[in-house]
Amino acid sequence: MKKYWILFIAIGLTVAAVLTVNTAYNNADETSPASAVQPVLLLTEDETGSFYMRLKQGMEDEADITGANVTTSVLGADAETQIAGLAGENYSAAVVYIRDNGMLAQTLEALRQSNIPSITIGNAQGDYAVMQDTMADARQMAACVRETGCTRVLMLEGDNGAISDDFTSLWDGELIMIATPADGSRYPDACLVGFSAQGIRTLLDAKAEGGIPATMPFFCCDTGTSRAADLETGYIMGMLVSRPYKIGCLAMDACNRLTGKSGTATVTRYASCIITTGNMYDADNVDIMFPLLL
Amino acid sequence: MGKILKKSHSLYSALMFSFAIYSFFMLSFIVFTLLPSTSSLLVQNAIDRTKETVLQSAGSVDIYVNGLLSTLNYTSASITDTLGRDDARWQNQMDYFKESSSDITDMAVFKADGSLLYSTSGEMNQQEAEITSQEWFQKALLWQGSSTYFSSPHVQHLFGSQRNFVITLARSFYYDYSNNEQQTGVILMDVRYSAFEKLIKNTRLSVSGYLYILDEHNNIIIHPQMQMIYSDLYQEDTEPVVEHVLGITQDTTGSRQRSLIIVTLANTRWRMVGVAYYNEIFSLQSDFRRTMLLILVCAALLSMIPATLIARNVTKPILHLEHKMQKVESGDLSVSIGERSFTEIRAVSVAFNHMLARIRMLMDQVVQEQEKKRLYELNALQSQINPHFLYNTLDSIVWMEERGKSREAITMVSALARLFRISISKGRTIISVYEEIEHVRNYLIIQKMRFKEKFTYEIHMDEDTRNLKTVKLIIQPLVENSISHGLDHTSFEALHIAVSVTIDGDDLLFCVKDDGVGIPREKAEKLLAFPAGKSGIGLKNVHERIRLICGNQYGLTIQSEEEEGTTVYIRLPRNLEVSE
Repeated sequence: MKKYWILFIAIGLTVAAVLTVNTAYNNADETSPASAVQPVLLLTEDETGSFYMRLKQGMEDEADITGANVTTSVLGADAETQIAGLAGENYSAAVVYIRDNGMLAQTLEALRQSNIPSITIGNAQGDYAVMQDTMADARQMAACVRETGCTRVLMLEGDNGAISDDFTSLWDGELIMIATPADGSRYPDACLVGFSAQGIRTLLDAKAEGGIPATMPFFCCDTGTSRAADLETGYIMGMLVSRPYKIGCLAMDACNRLTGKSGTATVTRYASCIITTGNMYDADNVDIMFPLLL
Repeated sequence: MGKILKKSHSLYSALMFSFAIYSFFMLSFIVFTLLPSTSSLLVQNAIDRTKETVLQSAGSVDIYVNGLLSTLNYTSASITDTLGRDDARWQNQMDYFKESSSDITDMAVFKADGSLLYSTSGEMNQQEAEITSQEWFQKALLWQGSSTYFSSPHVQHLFGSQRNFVITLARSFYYDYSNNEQQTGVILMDVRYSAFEKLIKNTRLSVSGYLYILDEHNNIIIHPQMQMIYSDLYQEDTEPVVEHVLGITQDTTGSRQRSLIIVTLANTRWRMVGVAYYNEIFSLQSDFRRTMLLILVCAALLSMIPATLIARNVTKPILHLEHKMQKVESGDLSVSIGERSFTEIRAVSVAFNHMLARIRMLMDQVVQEQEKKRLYELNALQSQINPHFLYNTLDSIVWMEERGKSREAITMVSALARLFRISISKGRTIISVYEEIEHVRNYLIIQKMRFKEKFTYEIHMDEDTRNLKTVKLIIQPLVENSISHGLDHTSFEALHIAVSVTIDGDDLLFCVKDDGVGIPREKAEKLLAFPAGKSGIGLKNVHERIRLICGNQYGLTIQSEEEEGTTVYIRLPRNLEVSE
């Protein structure tokens, strides 16, 4: 009788093994994308901004496609300690969206010590960077200016934004540097361009106060949280605004590139959008102009 | 198969092998017969389910849109009826509709010149000229109330400071405001984009299939990856869909072939497109095939368990039968086979038991017949009168008559007559103890008359034994032996023979004792064991007759000492019952 039991147990074990292998195979089918990518860390100093929220949404949506997951962490003054605590969590990479230069440097150093690859947004200090394509943006702005028929562009002296050099280099019309906004009133057929926050604000104030004709076309970079109001006043004809959702997707893609060691590039560049009074309410710009409506 | 079975040495392995092969082929037949049709059905079912999901989702959108249109139509009818006469009524209705549905962000009524008649959200922040230039306003007027305009998703910023991401519904209506001519107005309803989006956003076709909606200009207005499309990170190829309003088409994106299920939504001029990936639909088929093959393997393995049990249950009674047969072969006919098994095995067992019973019965019958035959032979032999004894007795009678000893001759003749009468006993084998004693007494009378003083005798019979039964003619041969072999012709002392019969417990005990020359111990021990010589015939005959009639525990016991004499005990059952 003993030999029968041995036979039965052997058959039972074989069947169990076959079923286990099959179950594991099925589970592997279902979970292979998730198990292929390790979690990614998103570090910021402020999680309340709409840019950050859309950036995070973009990362999460991209992560859903690749099967990864995103963990966020808001860094305080003790960023190094926080990162040291996160080091044991086996993160494959960290996307760093920190605007304070001191905290950014501190964070990147802590990540290096923890052997976590970093992806920085808007600067090239990390192992990988997702940065604005300033030349493409300058090209867009120049095209918009040309569409108005202007051949003369007014630019405030000292308005040295990130893309001003690129714009200056590719603009093939007349470029006039004005010392004050009031100087612009001498060129009623010209277009205004603004690049730095200070320069843009100065020109807007001048328009509001009548220092510059309100109808003079004005193209500028992003004015931040007041961008919708600035466009609705009509003082700005076109505004270059980056799409944080897209940046989030690209950052997540950069994580995959970095951890997958695919390619040798260390920078992904993105182009901004030109938002005008004509398209600011379009569905494809809600993400940029009114992210809270989504 | 036949060769394999012929080569098999055990029924067990043959059964195991047959059952396993049979199970495997049956399962294989079932699996491979049903697999193609079932897997095709699975695929068809998956496609049907996908189509059904798309149709259900389209139905959900239609139902939702119909609800909005009902609200819009009801409101426009109310405005037509009461504008200028009971404005509070239709305005309250509009307020009610807006308040009762969180999806509706604004409702407003405009004149044909773009001036605002009423808004649920307060004052307008745009100029009339801007209203009249907007597409929703122009289309509503153009269609003259024949249908409702549905805009693309956009941010609405008409009233106050509020901004909403909406789809605008607009239609024109007629009213008689000045009581002298019919005028046209436009009613607007803004519905949150998220209300439409949630109707389809989370719907999944197969694993990663999805739904999206195109407007009448083939622009995607709702898509699960809408933000990625806006970000130029994802492109939905709508080219294959453009020419279709209803049905199924297919395309290939990358290496993946897709099924595109297209449904035109009622009232909106939108089209819903369901995207299902063929590899996911067919993965059901491959999963099913793999699972079925695994089931086949497992079932084939598991079938070994019942195969083993069945083979064991079938062969166990056969092996048991074989074991019993071997016992029978070795001479043990007392075996019996249990009859709790399969019908066929039980039938064989029953037949075997019957055969054994029959053999036992026949053998018993043979033994009995042999015993009877032997008994008849022994009885016949016992009944024979020793011719020497008869000749000597008759010679003695003649001698007595010649000598004028008529009285003695009469005594001897009388004794001889009684001796013969008891010997015959009407052919009975069993007689009373008294008759047996009388028989030996007559014999001793005759012998005493012949041998005179050469021996003496005494007979003692317990009165209790008188009427008991005994095997006939068992004492006389012993007494004859005592006389024949106990007499020492060289001695001058007379031989004494003592015959007694007593009860010993449940037995009847005869004793014939003489003080003759005795028998050597070795010879005495062999007298009953082996076919003896001439001198042992009488004793062995008596011994065998008693055992045949009464059983092996009964019979003769001989005690003898040379020069001391011989004592022979005969043990019989006290209550001897034998049918004659």
